[in-house]
Amino acid sequence: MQLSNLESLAGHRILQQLDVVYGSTVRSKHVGKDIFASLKNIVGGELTAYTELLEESRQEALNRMIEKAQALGANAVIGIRFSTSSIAAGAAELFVYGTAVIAEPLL
Amino acid sequence: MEILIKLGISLLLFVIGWGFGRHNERKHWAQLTTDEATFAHIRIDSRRFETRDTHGMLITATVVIAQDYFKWVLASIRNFLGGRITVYETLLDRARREAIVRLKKQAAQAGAVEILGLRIETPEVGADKGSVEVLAYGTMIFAQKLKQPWPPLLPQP
Repeated sequence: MQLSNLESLAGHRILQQLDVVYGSTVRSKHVGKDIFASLKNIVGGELTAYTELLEESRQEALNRMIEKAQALGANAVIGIRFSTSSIAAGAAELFVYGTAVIAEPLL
Repeated sequence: MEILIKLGISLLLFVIGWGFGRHNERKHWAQLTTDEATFAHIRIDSRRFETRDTHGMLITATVVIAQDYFKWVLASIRNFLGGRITVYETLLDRARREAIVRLKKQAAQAGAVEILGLRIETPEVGADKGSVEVLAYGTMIFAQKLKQPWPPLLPQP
């Protein structure tokens, strides 16, 4: 599965547009990480645990989107956008969407 | 007495925050300067209608940076008086620069030469706690056409 957030797929011709596909995850921080984060909030610096959490969420959202694209028989998703919303304190949704297409490499 | 203890703790945290926070920030700035120089050869572009004849792949990078107690106190005062909160501006700036550096690093490791369609998002999972989160993404472009499409979801460094 090829992915791109551009309007077209580099080095390819779009043969068929299938459908908009999306994937999302809602994640919350866990207490242990929260306590550590509070300590980090005194001295500053990167919150590695949160970075990983965000990374995992992003990966999962993308995977779900890819699954949908595969089910449609697409070989690429273009025009990908990430969107986020915080639902409640400490919980956030990561949403990713794009257009599933069938693309053919240019000669 | 209780008030004095509370005030003492706050003052202690303020000093710790000032010392460590400033140290961390300076260290990060120095790190960013060297990293940016290392990956300066990766061109970066935010236009999404651009395209190339060679192949590309989506890449993402995330950064979460916590504020320190010193910044929090200063920002609280500023919030009351109004005006620019410079301490938060530098925090956001560091997070965005770091995200772009990480994006460039991934592109460089994959052997790409440029990044097109750069987008920067701030998801705010821990906004209540005063940390800054940045998600940057774009499409890396390779110098040559690939025989096989590049596999999606690169393992993070």
